[in-house]
Amino acid sequence: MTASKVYSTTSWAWEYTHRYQNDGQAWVEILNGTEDDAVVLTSAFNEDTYMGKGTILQRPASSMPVDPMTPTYQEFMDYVTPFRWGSGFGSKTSLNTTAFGTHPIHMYVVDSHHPESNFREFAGVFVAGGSAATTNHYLNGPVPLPSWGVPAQNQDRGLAVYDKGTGIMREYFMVTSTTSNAAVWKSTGAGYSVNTPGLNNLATDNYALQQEVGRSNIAGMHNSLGFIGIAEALNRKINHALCFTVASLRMTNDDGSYRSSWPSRGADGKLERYMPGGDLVKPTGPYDGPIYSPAHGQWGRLPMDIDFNHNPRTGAPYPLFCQLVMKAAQQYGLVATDTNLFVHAFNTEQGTTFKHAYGVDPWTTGGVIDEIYKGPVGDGGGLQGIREFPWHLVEWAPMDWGRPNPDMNLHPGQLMPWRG
Amino acid sequence: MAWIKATDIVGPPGTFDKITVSTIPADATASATIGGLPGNRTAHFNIPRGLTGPMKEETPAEIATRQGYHLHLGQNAPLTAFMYGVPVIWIKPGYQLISIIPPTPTWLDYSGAVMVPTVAGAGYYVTSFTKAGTTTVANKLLTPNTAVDLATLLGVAQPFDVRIEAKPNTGYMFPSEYFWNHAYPNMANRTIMTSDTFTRANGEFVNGTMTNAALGGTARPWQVFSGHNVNGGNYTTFEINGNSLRKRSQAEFYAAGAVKTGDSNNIRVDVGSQNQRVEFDLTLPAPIPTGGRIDFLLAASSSTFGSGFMFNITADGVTFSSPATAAGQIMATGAPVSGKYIFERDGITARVKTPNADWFSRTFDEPVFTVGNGHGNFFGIRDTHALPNTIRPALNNLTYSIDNLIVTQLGF
Repeated sequence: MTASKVYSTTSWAWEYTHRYQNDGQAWVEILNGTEDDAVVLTSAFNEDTYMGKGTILQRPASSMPVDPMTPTYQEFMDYVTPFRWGSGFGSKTSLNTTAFGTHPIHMYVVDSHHPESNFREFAGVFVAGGSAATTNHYLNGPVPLPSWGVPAQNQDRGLAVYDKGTGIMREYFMVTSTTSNAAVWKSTGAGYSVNTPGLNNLATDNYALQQEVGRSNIAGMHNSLGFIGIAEALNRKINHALCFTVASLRMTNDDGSYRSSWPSRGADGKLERYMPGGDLVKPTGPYDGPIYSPAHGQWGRLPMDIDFNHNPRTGAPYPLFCQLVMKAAQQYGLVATDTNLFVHAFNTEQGTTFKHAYGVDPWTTGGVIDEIYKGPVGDGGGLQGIREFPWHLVEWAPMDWGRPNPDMNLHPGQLMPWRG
Repeated sequence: MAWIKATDIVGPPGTFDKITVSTIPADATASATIGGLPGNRTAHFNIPRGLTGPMKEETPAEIATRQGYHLHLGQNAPLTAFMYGVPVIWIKPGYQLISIIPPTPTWLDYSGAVMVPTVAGAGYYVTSFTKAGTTTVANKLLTPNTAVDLATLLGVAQPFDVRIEAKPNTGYMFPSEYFWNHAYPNMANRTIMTSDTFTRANGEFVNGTMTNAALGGTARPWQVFSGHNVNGGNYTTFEINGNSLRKRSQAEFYAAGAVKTGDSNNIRVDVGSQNQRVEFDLTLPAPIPTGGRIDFLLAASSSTFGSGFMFNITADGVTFSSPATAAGQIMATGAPVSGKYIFERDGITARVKTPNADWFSRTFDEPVFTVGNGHGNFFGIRDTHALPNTIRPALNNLTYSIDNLIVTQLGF
């Protein structure tokens, strides 16, 4: 049976019609789908459909200039800030997944124009620097999201909804139910950008993957596209730069201005409070590490001359999963887009959608991905192999590497475009 | 109408071309729902009463004959007016308009330019401009992400007014109209706003008095930023002395009846100007202590951070800061001496003339002209603001005098 698909401007729905006749009478068959038809159920990181194609996250790291402060930054990132707590597998680097640890921002790719799209009602969303008009227009009210879609289930409770139907990319921070109605959600931070429908043109629509207004993570970016994708982990190749979460940084420069590097739209950190003269002392005693750190948004990369078969610190090969991440850091680089508490952490694509489709979260310890990386090399292997990520080898770009002039993206509180 | 459960239907779901319904009443119209089809879809059938025998799909010709017309579905118009012997009706696939709100343009008053962002679904146009009372209709698309020189684009020189409208592209809509009218000022205007030669009685508290406008402009009141209500009056350390505006020492201030000093070494006169030139004769009986400074504020109501534009006479020279510029930019070096000082803030340019140095100018980021601060426009003087307590006593004891003050509005 061949179906014809007609969009009804009356019902705002696709109608699948089969026309049949019998004994001179005819009728129409209408096929209805389910809300899942309006959700991209596959990984958002399939190489051929990756939304971040051609964006800043695929900028070749080989073209990156190196900042002279790199040795200081390397020492800082290896020192792991005053907050080291023994978390993150007892290491300085952790992995945020839906199966263990801090949940990453939950990103869903949906199509609000699909007739079966489900919508979640939002109210009382706060947007730094946003007007009531734009907040209500883009972030409050019905937001396309499957009924089974949830924000991160711990910590920042982050949620990202990338709508192919309208091209609107929504981001929410700390999503919870409203007190008056559990079915209506709110958030204490949010941001958005408007792009071409289909979201196949972000390389030109939104090269830097920035939220246009508001901020849901420190960098105010669509950083979910820099997470480690399920498809990538399964295919053993990451095709973009890594948006990681950093333990803590300097929040301000020496002159008191906020320390932020394009494409980040914000700054964060508490190092000043632990430095000499600060008001805090770390649990293990006075802070004696470097007092200068990279900034959110500042690009970094690993050098190409790394011997993956020999980690000088262990005498053994780097664990397989660490190698996967390191190779992406060599080819595309890495960038801090959010702040953690105790350790540096790489983020992964949420497994909620995968679990909905296949019944199990792929990031589960001993699960389909973990098993791939439990190879014969490395001590421990599996996903925990991320702990050996060599922060002391990361080279850092100068602040604002590649920033356009003028930079039309207005950061929260900024009223004029930056012009160099 | 009776409903038939899918379990009543014989045949594997998704592959059938014939269904047999065993429970349908002979005289009823029925419908069937079949779930579990490919793509997790569900099929709904409306089954006419009395249906018997096998079904077959109607051909387009049969449909056309039955309907009396042929539907042509597609973005492009049909090639013929008749098909299958019946008229062709063209149905263009519909789509949902995407509703967006275009961001506000950025106005660059001093360069006569405007900046608009790239917006998926909209473009910005200059739809008219008004010069010397004459309005001209235009339809000029603005290039996004760049400072568009309107004088060049429109062929007129400042001052002029423009109207810019955002227009949705195909497939988009706005929740309302979005247009902006903006006046670009005449940057050549020079107007003395007020002046003061301070030819008044010695010892008079200057707070609450009027400028005498002896050198031009109109009389304006002197006020404190934040003073202390002593004996029913707001006092500052500034007084009339020897036909000049003199800042008292702390001891003199106390002797005059004040109970506290340290944050009331200030005085201002509201002048209502965005761009200002301030000139005055300064008498410094003693050097400015190291680490201290006298602030000369040329505040615009549009400043968004702190009090905005500020020149500082320090122990080492003159510095400048603006809302968009890091503080302490050096404008003149060398220990300050008595004599005439001229400070100008003209759009994105700051200029300084000191008694012992030629004009020096710096440009800085375009100032912000959208949000007012609490003070409004004014020229003001202060000397202990935001400084550590270690330096305040020395500044409290510092005295200096201002004379022949002229405040001029630049542009607009």
